[in-house]
Amino acid sequence: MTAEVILQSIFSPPTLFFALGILAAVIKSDLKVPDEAGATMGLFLLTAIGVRAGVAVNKTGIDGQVVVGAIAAALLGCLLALGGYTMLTRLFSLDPANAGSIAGHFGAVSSMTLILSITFLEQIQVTYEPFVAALYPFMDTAALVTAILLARRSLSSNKDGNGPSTKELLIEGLTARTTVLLVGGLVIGFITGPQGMERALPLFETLFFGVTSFFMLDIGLVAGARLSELKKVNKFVLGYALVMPAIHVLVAATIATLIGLSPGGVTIFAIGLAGGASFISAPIVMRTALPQANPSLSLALALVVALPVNVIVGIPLAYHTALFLAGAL
Amino acid sequence: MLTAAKKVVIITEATIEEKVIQLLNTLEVKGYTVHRSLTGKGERGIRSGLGGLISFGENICIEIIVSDEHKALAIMEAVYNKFLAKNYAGIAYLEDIRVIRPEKF
Repeated sequence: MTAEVILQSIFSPPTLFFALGILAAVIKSDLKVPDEAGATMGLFLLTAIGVRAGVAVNKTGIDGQVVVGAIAAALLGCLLALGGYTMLTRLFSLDPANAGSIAGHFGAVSSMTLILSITFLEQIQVTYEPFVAALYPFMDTAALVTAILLARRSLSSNKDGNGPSTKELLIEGLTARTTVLLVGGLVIGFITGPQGMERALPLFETLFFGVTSFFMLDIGLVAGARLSELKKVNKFVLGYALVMPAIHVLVAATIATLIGLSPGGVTIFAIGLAGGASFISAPIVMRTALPQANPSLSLALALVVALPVNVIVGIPLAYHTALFLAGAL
Repeated sequence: MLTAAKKVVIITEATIEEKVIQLLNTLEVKGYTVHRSLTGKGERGIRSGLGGLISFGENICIEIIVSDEHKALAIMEAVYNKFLAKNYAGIAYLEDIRVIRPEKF
């Protein structure tokens, strides 16, 4: 069963287009997705997740689980950043700036992993609590702010007031385009409901999987172009990037099961929110908040290591972890 | 008809565009022009974007025209001290130019 689901995940259009993108970059093909097209697809997918979640929440109604979920997501974000930072500084003796940056990237949410965990569940026809995707900003912001604060505590050179303050970081996280599109789309979907959204849903629902697949071609091209940066990465740090997402998934899946999410919801919470490493929003935040860190290092780990591993085996394994925990807890 | 003026050109990381502009505003710069989505090669390797996903990895070029060298050097020094000397990739240079309507600068 597990092997079958993993194979299904590997031979799905998004994964294969991702592989094609990497291949095209490696063989130095002239293939290029225009910047504006890539940006548009990214914005579209986030809006679609929000709108579809909103329509679904309109059908199921809101209950206390949303609030519990938001609190759990924020606390988990802090915990993942703290755990990652401690491990990188204590175990691997990494400097505070790079440790903070990497822990932040891994604690933050990868919107692509979130999108793919949703398409995965839909492909195998498993239902999930629709609000879970909208917990994104809580975990993302909490992880980034925690990682930055931990690193800054050990960095004396930050006294020159160059970087953003904690308040600015919080505002930045909660006003970021990802948050605005996801939460805004959710509110719009919730207000209009299935009837109001009926004529717009072909765009958000029917096209969703196709656009995800094509967008993965773009991500593959970008990842492939940065493949060579892996050669410069320390082996232990590379090991961290391979192992850490699995630890994130285990911790997050346990928490999500305990707060009563279904296996589908647990999968999205564990791999879609906690397991992925951010490569779109975190690099910019970290570049200004922890400028001493090497930006290419954390980006390569998130994009070239964590993403492919999650796409190929992480998502199906997280689903099986969720099924196992649902039986065990 | 044309008057001599100075142009400061700053090429640096796209991620700090807003911060550099904030700094320029504190220096009472009357105007500037920003070119975005630039790539190139320098000490820190080839700079290139992320397929339109984010501006990370790209460069920007900011041009500021001022009336005299004194103001131009003050801008360059501030940008150098705050960004280019330490953590961010970038270069800054000064050009002699001639402008029409000198009162604008």
